Amino acid sequence: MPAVQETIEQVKEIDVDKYKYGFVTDIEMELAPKGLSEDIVRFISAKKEEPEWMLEWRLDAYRRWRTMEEPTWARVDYPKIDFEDLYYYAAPKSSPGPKSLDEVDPELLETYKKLGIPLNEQAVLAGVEGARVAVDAVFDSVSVVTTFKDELAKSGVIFCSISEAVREHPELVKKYLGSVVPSTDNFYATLNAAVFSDGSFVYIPKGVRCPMELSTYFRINEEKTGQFERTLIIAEEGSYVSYLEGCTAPMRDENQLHAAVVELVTLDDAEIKYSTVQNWYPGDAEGKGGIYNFVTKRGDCRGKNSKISWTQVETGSAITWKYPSCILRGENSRGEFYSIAISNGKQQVDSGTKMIHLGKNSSSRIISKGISAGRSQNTYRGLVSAHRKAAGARNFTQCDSLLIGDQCGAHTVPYIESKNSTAVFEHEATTSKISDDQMFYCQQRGMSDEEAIALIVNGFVRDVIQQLPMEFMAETQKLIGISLEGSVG
Amino acid sequence: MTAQPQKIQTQGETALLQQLAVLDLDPTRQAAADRLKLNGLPHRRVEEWKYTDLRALLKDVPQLSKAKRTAASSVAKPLIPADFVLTVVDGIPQEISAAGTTASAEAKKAVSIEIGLGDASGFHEKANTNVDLNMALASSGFIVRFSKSATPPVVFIDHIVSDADAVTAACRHSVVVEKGAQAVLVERFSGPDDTAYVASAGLSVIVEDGAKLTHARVVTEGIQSSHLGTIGARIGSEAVYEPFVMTLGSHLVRTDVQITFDGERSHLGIRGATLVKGKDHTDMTLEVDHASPNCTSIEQFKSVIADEAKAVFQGKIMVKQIAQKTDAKMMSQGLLLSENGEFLNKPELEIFADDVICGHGATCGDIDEDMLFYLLSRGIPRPIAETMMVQAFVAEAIEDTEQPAIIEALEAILADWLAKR
Repeated sequence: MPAVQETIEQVKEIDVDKYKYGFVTDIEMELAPKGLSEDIVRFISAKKEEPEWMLEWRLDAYRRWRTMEEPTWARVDYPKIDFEDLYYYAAPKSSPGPKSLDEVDPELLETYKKLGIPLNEQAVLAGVEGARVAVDAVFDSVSVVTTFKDELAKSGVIFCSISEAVREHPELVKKYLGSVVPSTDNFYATLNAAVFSDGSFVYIPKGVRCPMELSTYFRINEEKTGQFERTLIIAEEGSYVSYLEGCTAPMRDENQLHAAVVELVTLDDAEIKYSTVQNWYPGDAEGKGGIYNFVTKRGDCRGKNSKISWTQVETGSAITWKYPSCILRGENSRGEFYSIAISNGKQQVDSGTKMIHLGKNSSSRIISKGISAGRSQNTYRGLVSAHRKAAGARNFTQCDSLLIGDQCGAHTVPYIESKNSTAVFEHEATTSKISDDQMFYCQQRGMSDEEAIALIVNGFVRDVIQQLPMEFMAETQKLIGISLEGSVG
Repeated sequence: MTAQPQKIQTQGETALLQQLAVLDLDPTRQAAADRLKLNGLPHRRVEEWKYTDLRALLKDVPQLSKAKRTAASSVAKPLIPADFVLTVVDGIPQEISAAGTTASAEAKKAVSIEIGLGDASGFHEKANTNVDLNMALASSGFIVRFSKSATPPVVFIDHIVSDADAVTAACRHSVVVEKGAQAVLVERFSGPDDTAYVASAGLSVIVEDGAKLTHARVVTEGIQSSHLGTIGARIGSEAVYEPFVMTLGSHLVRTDVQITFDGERSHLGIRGATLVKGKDHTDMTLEVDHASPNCTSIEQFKSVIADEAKAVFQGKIMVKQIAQKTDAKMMSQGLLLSENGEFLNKPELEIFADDVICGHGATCGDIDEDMLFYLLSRGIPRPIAETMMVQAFVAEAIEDTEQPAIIEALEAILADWLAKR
């Protein structure tokens, strides 16, 4: 039984290191002055050598943000954030834009090595013979390095940091940036539009199937910094790309803000598969420290038969507040959302999705698995809506919650809005604990409580894990074990 | 710089506040009136009223009816054969007439009926605009107590709006089913189609330990009317409460149902059917608070939407940390018969206990083509086939009601609605 063996190994590993990415890299950083003002926005823009139109776009967003109020509707509770007490720009001090890996600060490379991220282009991921992943590594506010760029360029794929894209592909950025998540969208998206410092840009030309997985790895390192990255992925007609995103942060006593924006655009017959393994530092057992993860992610299926699929594994962050959404504009377009949200300790999760059906015969599928343990609160909040013209729209939603222990909460808040009679929506949700029968069965076969729980939970989330790219599957299974450590008894 | 924009009072709000200002209110009613004054009518940015913008929909609050209490003159045919037939005209409870009473000696002994304003302890403590509106506006109602009897006595309360001018008809009843007693309560609301009257209907229910109440509320108001209904119920230990809310649409129908489990091993079976057409707007908002362990609940709601009507269902099951071993199942289904109908559905679970089985389901769509084809291929004309399908869809919720007389009455209302559609 390999599954059982694997589970035992996971549980063994748990004892050694709980949050193993909690170290700090000691590296000389360049920081912008604390606080937020027009000058800071200008500073960031100047650092990025941006054209005038980009600066204007940022300033517009900044001015609007000043008039906006922080939203409070989510089921999360945290002390008010002092936006003037944050650094909005932090970059490792080194020559700007290293041309090759040799120019990158070895301390940084060491950091990514520790995190298990292969920046070396020859590296082959363990267990997956021959699989290669192009990585864009983002350290605090800047992109450190993007691998396999040349090879990707051969097939016409553009994969670079967004600051580079602003400089080198302004026509594409101008056309698509803010077209899915406008700079006026919401409090955190507007803040992001004003101060975003880096992120990834992907452009897949017509008819191209991206030859390798693309990946971005985000790392927050500096104290008192906010990370504001922006990702923009455009899949032209008939193209395909699979994109992975991972994130970690050091263990600190203070809370740190991460407010990202991700925009996806698919044209006719194109497909984007976007996977996230979010493992920001969740804070300690008492809820001290941890990342506030307030993210706006949205995909726009503009073309016919286009498809966007979100897969997320949320194990980290003190507070997670995000709703990866799909606007299903194109005829026959399809949106998918697979999510595992695990909360332990005093973590708070308010996450879900929005499927907005505008096009004829558009379809969507939502599978959400929430697991809450410790004293955490885990909320699924989702919207499925069919507009007047969305004839034949189809949705299936399943959200299951698992409770471990009697101090935690699991909540489901779905909004189902149908304005078209031919739209067919189905929604089902269940909440339960791990059944005593299942536990007894495992225990009877000599497993300890923790082993049994890890095994049962892995089974519970299997539907979602299967949607993850191979490289992430093993890591995720391990993460689940780690996140639930200490939740028994 | 930070000046708040002046909130503009709508005509409805102005009318409401003017009326509240001249009423002589006791402290409880005054508190409700003060909250209304402070917050105004809720709009779509208030989460509980997201789909029912009361500020926009409640255009006017006409004068409270000044009708006098009289002996009920003509007794309309009750919905089901009842031991006691009570009448409320324009929100004013009428003298209990002997004519309407066919009660046996046993039923007479088991039921006590008074006119007055009973307590409202069935409602949740958290303020709710609909409850506040009723609290502030209603000055009277029936106070009904059921004590233990061999067969459950049946009480029918008929609410009629008779005034030729638009009025506001507000009343609040208080029903207590004492320990070990059982009872059947049926309420009906109706009024003329040609005036835009407002009906505010409150009902506070206490089902004591070991008691059982079967309850049906039938809302068949006039098409221009606004019906703002509330039901607040508390269920004791080993008690059973089985309400059914049948709503036929009008300009606006909003029903807030709040149920609390106060004791262990109790059961709630709440069901409902909503039938809307034209430009009707209905909203069923349900909040079930599992505050005690070992209770079970079933929530089942059906909505049939024709023309350009809009039906809203908001259901929340709250399971408190103490309420271990809760088993709660909620189902909300919508059947859209026309292209321009809207079904807005928000079934919520809020769970703080781990040893529970809770689930909810929600579906919406139009009549299944395959099933329709089956009927058509057997020579059944389309309109009849469609009617059969709708009937079957709604019947699923109706037929679980225990009282055959109530099932019959509800099915008749459904058939009538379908025939007139």
